[in-house]
Amino acid sequence: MNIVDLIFSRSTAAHPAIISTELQLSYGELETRMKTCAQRMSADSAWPRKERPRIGLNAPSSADYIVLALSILQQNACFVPIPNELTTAERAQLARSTALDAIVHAQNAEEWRIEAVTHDSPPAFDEAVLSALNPAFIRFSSGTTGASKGIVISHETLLARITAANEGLRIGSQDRVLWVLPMAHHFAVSIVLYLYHGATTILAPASDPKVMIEMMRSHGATVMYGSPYHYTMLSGQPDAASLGSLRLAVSTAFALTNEVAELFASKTGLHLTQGMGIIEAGLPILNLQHSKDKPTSIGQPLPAFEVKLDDGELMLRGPGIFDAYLTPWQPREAVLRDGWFATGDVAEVDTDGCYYLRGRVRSVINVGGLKCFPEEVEAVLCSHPGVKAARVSARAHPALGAMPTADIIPQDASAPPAVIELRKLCQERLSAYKVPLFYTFVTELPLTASGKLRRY
Amino acid sequence: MPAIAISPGTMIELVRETVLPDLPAGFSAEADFFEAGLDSMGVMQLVMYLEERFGKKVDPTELSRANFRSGLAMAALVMGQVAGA
Repeated sequence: MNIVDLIFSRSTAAHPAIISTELQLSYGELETRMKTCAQRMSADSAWPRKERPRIGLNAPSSADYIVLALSILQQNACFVPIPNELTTAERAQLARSTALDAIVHAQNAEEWRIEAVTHDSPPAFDEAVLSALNPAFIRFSSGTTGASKGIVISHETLLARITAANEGLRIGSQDRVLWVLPMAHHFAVSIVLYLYHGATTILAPASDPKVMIEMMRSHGATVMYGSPYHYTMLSGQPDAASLGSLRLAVSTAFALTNEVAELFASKTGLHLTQGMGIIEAGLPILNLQHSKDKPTSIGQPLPAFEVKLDDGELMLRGPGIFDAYLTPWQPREAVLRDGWFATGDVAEVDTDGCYYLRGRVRSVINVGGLKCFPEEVEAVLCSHPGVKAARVSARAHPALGAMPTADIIPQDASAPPAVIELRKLCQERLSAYKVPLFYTFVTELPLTASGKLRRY
Repeated sequence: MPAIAISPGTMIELVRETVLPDLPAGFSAEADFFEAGLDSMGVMQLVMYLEERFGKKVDPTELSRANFRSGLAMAALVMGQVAGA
């Protein structure tokens, strides 16, 4: 199964697919432009001569980004978006960990070159096993665990998640979606979803709210996908009220605050719908019922999904969960517990069944860009005979953002260990940036319901 | 008024107690902390200790090596805050 073939087998050739400031393509024109591009790619001497090669795409967000991405996918190559904000070292790391076979460097669908990539060592995963999954995408989470794992999404999984997400979004051929987000980060459960459901995608410049509103008006947008940043910017426009004609405005990428939600509603009469989009599962939760009275909630699970809290952690079960982690290789079955995916997000639920995100389960302390794992520091502290329990957390620092600090339950409250001894122990065992600044003796530490240290 | 006197001696004591436990006895007011092993992460930690112990909020613009070079330099940095307060 190939998602691109499926898109065009369902589409109406004359119906508009993409509208941007420089290019307008009907579904028929998009298919022709994609096929021309795909044929030129596969004829290029640098195109890898192997089954299901892994192809990086380095291109600006544009109508032709869609053409290029579909061209790669249509040839049964595995598509690896390369975000343009990555440093040279991070790009090299991405190319190495996904064992990229080639990178397409493109200005548009006509001007591009293919760079064949060679590696000093074989891939860290079994290529045959990856290939057997029918992989469409490899994406990286901007996760907080430091080492990003690489998330494999097959054509089948992609179809399952866009089908499930659309039970909430209800995008159809009559919809015109105003799009302002970076395509290297948002593509699968958005642009692929709109194309599969025959809608029109209107690409507006991300930093120009005036043009966004003009395009929204002139092309009759019905749905918008953006971040709180875009909605704040739009709220400041004199003609913001015209956005009130949208039937749905989805807020994603980062947390929507009450202030932004109220500002946008007061200017447009429209309530922002926050969703929880995650690379591992698509769009399982969306605030369709309570956008007006509870805008900061991510809402309720869409019909295909089950959601629960396990000791405060948000757990998901449903269709379209990723196929595997790439490095280290972990197939879906090895990651899920009875079908449940642990998101790593701490959440709360109210009496209406509306969920709210409250933080991350593993609170890594970011010391000026260096990652400090509290558990590692706590283990060192607990190795001191005078320490019964320890909790390391972040303390705000004016130059570095945060530094670690420790709360300690001593074995004997009447004779706690000397602070200088604890500090020396940490200095001997840990990098300087991980050494807690302060050592506060306490009688208890905050715990979760099941008795684990509460980290939020 | 801070509870602890601000002097090169109390600064050297703070540095020894926190980031440089092996600072030799008799370390002089003008001796160089960096030569004794202080590094930029140590300076970042001292920023927090100065605030806790002396109420000195170090402005990011004051994070120069010169301000943390010696007990004397650090005392001058903290006194500047107190004098100006």
